[in-house]
Amino acid sequence: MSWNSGFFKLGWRSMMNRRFATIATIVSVTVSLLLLFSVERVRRSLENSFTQTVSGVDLIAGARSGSLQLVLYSVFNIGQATNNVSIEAFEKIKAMDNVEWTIPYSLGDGHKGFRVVATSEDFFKYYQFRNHQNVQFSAGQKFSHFLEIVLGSDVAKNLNYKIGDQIVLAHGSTTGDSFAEHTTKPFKVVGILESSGTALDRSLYISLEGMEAIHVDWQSGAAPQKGHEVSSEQITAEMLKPKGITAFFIRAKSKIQVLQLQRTINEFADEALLAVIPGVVLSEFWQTLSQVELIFKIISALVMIVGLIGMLISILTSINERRREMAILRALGAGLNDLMAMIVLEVGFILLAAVGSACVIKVFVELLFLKIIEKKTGLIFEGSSFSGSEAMMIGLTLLCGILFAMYPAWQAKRKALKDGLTVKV
Amino acid sequence: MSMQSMTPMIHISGLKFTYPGSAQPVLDIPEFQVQAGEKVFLFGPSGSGKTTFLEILAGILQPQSGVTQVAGQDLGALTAAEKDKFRANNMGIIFQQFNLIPYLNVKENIELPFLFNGKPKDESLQDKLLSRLGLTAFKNKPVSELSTGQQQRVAVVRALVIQPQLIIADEPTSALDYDHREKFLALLFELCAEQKATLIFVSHDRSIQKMFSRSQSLLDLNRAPAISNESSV
Repeated sequence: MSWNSGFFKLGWRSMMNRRFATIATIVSVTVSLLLLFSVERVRRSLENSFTQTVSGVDLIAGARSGSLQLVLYSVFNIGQATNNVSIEAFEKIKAMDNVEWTIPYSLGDGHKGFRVVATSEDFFKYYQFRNHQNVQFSAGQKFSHFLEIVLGSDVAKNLNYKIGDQIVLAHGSTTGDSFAEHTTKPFKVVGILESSGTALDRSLYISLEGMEAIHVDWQSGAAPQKGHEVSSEQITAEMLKPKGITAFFIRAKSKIQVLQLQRTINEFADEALLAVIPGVVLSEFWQTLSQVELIFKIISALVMIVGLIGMLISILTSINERRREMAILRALGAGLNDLMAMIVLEVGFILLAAVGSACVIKVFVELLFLKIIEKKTGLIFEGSSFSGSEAMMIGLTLLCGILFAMYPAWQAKRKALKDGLTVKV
Repeated sequence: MSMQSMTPMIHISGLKFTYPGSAQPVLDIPEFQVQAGEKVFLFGPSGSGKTTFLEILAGILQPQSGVTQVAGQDLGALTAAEKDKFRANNMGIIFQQFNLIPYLNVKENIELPFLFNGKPKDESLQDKLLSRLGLTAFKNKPVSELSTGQQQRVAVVRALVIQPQLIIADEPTSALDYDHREKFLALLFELCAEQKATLIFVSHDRSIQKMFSRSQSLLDLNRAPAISNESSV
């Protein structure tokens, strides 16, 4: 073998002689690799977004139903609660010795496709997402009156609301528009939250009293009839006392007490309650979603294989064009192994160029667009650009590519053997 | 040196070659010798096994039986890679046409054999040969700017620049007109003599035969019956 610089130079000149096909091949492998990278990045971010929307919460409690259902409706606004928790039960648990804090959630209303969360001031004080980050305001402050409302960042941005705007809430729908609206009791926007990249951004926040206020004159879920309306001025403090909530988040005084507390709530005598550890439920749920993830991975792997087959075709075609070139090199003393090495070197170059450009493009695209994508989609892109998965993808691409190169290399050898010194076409 | 001058440049005995899958041998040469410094004109109609014979001499094909010695080296005793290396060091090969790699310039084409033989490049010999063949001005030109005759002369420079013991030329003049053919041959002989290289010149063009010191019909040499197309496998 002649592994001198001239040999590399010869391979390079030969490739440059076919630069269009070479560049097209590099582009096709690069694009395939970028697709693999994107799927992996989105998958990782989905997992993060999913498992990091709520943090620092030891238990989520609600009326007895499925544990996944409880987490999905309380944290992600997916699905509905079957029943409420009475305020008495909530107060009783809140007062327990091993409870550090609670955040009540009362759900059921919405506004133009976003859900309304009725909660207490403790929400702003204790709610944490991702790595123990608290809820922050980008404008205004928390509600202090029952007809005041705080908006998640996506709500404010998408609906173009500012501090001081009046908002009418829709009844009975947490996701879509509703026919029944609480027109008589509009809310005033007093605060807008900082974007968190979680479900928090897509909710509106009112006080538990506010929730009572808009429903004070509603009977069994129907709008008040004429003459039975209660105006804001007529509302008394007694009327505003919350009667029930949908779910609540609990922080135990110490981690050791979480399981004990969970059992206490699950065995609560006064009413049927369910307490779950959100992390456990979410990672179980993520396991079931991994089927979808697998399909994504298979599709991107197939795209990579298509890219590599494109490379294979291009190289096989070039071998036919290069038979004269190879006969000349044979006459000058090139061995069959030299010719094979030239093919493998060429494939190696194409693969390295593709891996290099895919990495550079990935880094640049992430630098330029990741923040925008985070804002637009609510996905969190955290951590480094490259993880073990990316390294494995690069490794597998290189390995498969070189394995793919064996066939054209063998073809080159076969043709050179057949041709000898004269090309027999 | 004295040892080498006593051994023939080419010594063949009992050579038999059959293409795989074929029942008929293409070559069956009981005896053939070429002395060092000879200029041999080897001729024969197509189908007489010329190309096969040259590929065996060059160590690209391996005969089924017989001895093939070039410059005292038994090619049959070498591995394929050793034969490649031997060819790179000791043989200059000139084809009928398409001798040059189109995307390299003249100088790069001339220096190609040094990729495979590991010898140091001899720039002064290269310049001398280029000048003798009237190619100095074309040294850094792309080969596409050269005429067929000029390209053939570049191939001669490349064959001689490695200071080979044996030059194998496979109809190198057939693409040239008669006038150029004679001039080309005269120069080739001169340079072979200067470089002390033995020349095996294969052609079916008998008009140039008279210029050679020895001519040999492959049909006389080869006892295998001629087939219509030697390359059909």
